[in-house]
Amino acid sequence: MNTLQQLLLSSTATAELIRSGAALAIAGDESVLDALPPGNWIGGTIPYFMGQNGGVTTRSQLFVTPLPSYPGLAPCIKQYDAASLSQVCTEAPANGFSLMILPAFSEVHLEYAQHASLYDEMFMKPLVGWVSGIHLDDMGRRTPKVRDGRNDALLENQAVVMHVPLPDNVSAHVNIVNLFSQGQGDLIEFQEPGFEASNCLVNGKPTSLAKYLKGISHDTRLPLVADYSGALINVSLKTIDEKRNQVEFYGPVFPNVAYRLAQPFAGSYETALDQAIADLPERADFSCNCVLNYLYSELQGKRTGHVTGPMTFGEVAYVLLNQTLVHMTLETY
Amino acid sequence: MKETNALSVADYLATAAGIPHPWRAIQYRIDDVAEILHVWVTRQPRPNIARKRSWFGLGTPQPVAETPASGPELQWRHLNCMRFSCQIHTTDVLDERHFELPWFGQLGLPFTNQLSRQVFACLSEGMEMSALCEIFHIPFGDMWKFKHALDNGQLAFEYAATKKPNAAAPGAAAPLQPAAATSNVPDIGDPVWERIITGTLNIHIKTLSLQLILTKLRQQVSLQQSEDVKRLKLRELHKYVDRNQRSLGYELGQIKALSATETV
Repeated sequence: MNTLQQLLLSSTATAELIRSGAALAIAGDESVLDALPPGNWIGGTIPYFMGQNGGVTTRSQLFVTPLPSYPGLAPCIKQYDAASLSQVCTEAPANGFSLMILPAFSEVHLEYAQHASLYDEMFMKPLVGWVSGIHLDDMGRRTPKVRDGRNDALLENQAVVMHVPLPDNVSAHVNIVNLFSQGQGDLIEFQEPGFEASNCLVNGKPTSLAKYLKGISHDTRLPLVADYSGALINVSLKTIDEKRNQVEFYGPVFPNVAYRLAQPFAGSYETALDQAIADLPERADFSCNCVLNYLYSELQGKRTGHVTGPMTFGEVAYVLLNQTLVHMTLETY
Repeated sequence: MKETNALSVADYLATAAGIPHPWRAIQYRIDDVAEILHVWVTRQPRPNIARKRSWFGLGTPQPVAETPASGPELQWRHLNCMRFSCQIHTTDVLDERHFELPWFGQLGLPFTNQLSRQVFACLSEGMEMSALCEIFHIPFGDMWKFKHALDNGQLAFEYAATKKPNAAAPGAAAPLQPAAATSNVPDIGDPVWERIITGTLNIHIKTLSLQLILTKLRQQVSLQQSEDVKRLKLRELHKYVDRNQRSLGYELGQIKALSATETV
């Protein structure tokens, strides 16, 4: 197994780690990710990080997550397109975990966002990951990408997955930390799934969502929140276009789910998060957080307790999440 | 690959596929590379026995081509035919009720209604999707599409289980053990599971995967209120808890306590 911790590293140090043969998950800007040597790794593009010294936007460093490799239990890399993605959990090891990276705005991203919860074997085996993105300055000029480290090509419409088997006495535990909770406001429901909505039901009454949100002067930094048996799952708001009567989301909404707009958390994000993660083990074997938390809470230069990782265009803890910290630890029994 | 219009063979195939009059097979094709038997079905009358007659019935009889049907070609995977899989095609314009016929299927779904029922029965008996794909030679993508429709309430089936409780179907996961034997998990027949999955009983859940799977299963059970669907979903929940019992100490403690209370 590995004893390395996940860290923000230079491209030289990252290349050395790759050449050592270690199984790795790597996050970095396209230019540095593209230049890495081939090896036993998967990666995705993103230039925003919570490093060991705090939040940082960098095009030159990479965030490296070493993945465990036990004797006789070598991790394996798989690529999935939208047509094969439904097999991701069935191909996962019986005891272990899978780490997935999906390129944002791609067909494979949409497929996963909308159907992951219905995949065979979903929730039976631990699955974490993130959605790759771009520097916001590159919007319209570059696209989010992933890389299967065994090859040179950057991929725009494939998910890359590292399936990591574990010995029988080790289990992976996935946690999420969402600082948002459902507010006391109206109950919002949708009749169709999707990344955008025109109409919804507000307290059971058909309503234009765009008009409703404008009408209550809603702060779009506060997401819709649904309660999944105690797990609070966000759907972040992207744009509200009252003229076109359309609201776009960063993740899909679903019918038969009761949403409420989030209430703001007390104090700063970093202070609130520090309290919320107090119960989590200090060492994470994988963690990531959302770029929206990074931007909205202006985390550049600030630390979020002991939790580090890429600040991504979407987080995966079984399903696709927004504005949520994902944390995975390995526990030995 | 062989292609033919030999109607007598097509007729036999239609009979074997369970397609009665006025429906009939007009064409078949055997793809012996992919091992697929394709059968085209129509309800149009047989024109090929009609003959163009010249005035007064004189002249040489001329075979007439089948009247082309006017709809887009639809196709569904049907029950296997010996070691070949079977694909039913039609270009007929179908009425809404025709989509309910056993040898046709629902629009946008991969299986005929008859195969759908068979797959549903196997799932109800606890067979894994991967085992089903292997045994029936069904592409996983098609199986997934079917399961997705089932889980979303687009399909409704009734199925009476025939096997004894706890007897594993071929290809099923590890048999579910009674609680007292080897597992720490209450038996699948324990009423506590039904109360949990229908939402009449709530426990405090800390484990993310249980929160998510339970929410999904409760939604599915409430969307499609059938005993068979409920039984299918109970199996899924039980399988999840059984597999992950090491991580579910907090929740399992509550479930076992509730189970003990109910049986007293």
